[in-house]
Amino acid sequence: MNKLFRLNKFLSWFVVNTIFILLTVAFIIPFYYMTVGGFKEQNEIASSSVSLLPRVPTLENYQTILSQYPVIRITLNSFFISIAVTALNLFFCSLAGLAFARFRFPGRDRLFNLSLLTMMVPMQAILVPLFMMMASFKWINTYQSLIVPGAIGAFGIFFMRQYIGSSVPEDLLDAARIDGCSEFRMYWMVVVPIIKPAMVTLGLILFMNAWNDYLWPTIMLNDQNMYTLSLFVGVAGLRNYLLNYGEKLAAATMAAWPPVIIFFIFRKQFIEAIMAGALKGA
Amino acid sequence: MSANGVSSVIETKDKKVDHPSEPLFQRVLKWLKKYQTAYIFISPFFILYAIFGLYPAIYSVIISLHVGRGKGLGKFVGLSNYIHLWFHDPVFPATLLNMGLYLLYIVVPMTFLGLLLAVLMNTKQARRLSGFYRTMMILPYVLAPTVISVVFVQIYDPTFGWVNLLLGAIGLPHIDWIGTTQWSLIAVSLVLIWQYVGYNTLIALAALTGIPPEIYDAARVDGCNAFQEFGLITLPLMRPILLFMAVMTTIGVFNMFAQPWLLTHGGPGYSSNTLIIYLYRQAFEVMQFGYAAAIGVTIFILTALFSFLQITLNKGFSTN
Repeated sequence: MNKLFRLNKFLSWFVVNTIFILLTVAFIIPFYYMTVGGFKEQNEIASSSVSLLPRVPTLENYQTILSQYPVIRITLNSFFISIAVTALNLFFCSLAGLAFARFRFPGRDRLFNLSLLTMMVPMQAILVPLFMMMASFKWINTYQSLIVPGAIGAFGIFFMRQYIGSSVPEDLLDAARIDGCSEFRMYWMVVVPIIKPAMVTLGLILFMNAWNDYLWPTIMLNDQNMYTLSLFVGVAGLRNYLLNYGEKLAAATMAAWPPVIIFFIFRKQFIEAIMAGALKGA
Repeated sequence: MSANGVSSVIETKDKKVDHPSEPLFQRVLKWLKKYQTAYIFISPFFILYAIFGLYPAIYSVIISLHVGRGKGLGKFVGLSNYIHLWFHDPVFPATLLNMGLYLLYIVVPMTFLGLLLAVLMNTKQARRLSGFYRTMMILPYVLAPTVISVVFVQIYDPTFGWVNLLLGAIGLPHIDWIGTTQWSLIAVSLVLIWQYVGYNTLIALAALTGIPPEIYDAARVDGCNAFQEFGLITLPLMRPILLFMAVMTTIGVFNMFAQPWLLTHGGPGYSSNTLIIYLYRQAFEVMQFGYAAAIGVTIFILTALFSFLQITLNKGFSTN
């Protein structure tokens, strides 16, 4: 009886973990395929046998894309745009979040609900008028076309309001005011240090969204020198004559690794952010 | 926190400040001064949204009533863009049908897989490695849709794609996943499930761990088995979060672009076409701005309708 119980226990342990190991493999394989494939020769990728490691590792794919496209510039574009969007969002969202969470002013709750309502209209649905606007601003092929419209979002305000509401005590703000702090100084010296963890998590999500975006950049940017990395990968993927298999994988690898590295560094915060977002939705 | 409590505090404070003898102008100035920081702090959002959200949304409706190509509005045509789109355009119903299939193939499996995997991950058998599993599950979520599409085009390749090599290894014929009408929509759906199922799992897991264990203890005392526990406790308590997942995934499906566009171009034919792809092609390939704007407005109406429907349906279920 006891033996049977133990066998049963082992079996259930084995089954559950086998499922997850298999899933883990399924989640990693495309990523692995890409990273390794970037070092393979064209005919090795196109051969009908699975090669887990490149037979003759080659840097040719990277050399080709680096010499034919302004990849360094494109990478810097990606970093610049993503960091700018993230920084502006963090600043504006935390200011608004503080006001909505801790200040008293007429119309506060109504304005907050209004800001949430704005999430209802997806950016995709207003693509045409936005494009026409940008064209009339002469903002096509500029950094600001990607930075300014995305400089603040309702989700970030919601996120910051929730966090400030639960972590910044009102007494602390009152004490700062009594000490003669201006409201902005109070924000900067008192509130910002407290909400740093929330800024990290929100910042991660914002950075990745900006880095990975494709639809808006593909409409705004058609000059190679202004491309972002994910747009570059998208264009290369779309136009088959542009790059061969290995070169496409090399470009994809370059676009994939920066957010992945950041993800691994902050994976705990990132996973917590996703799970915390869930609780608020419920 | 009740809104009433807040406003009553404001009122009492106002009474202290207000002196009826003061002229109106000074009172307004004082009022402004009192609340100016709050309004300044929230103003960037409202200013930017007015310019890049509200104005285009209204303008979108106006454009959709014209036949615009490029600069300027073009000729006013009333509702004819909508009439053509809804009643005369053969691509639109085909695309709508696709959206229905995408919802079926993506929202349904993703919601239930998310729940199932979360329940499995919450068992004590998986607990020791669950940190590792969580990290690996969320990895695809971090990758750019463009990156994923470029990789999956190769993984789906009919001759050398690893999916097909695997099929061949177990004796099944190779499938031209993205090049045939019967498979393209499924191929795109599979990529989206692969990318986002980990996200749903984490959301479901967060809700699961929030269920107090005492409820299960009580059920076990009453003689419930594992399946009864799941059906009678877990599922009802998880309904709000499942709804949340379904609504979020539905919105995501309606707005998806990069993966189907880069994997299949919406094809072959229109077999994996999505509404956003259709909008994009009408706007930036054929330059039919008015028509594209009408598609945009339609997408908004559909998304709002579906989210509303899901929420109402759930309310109906929970009252029964």
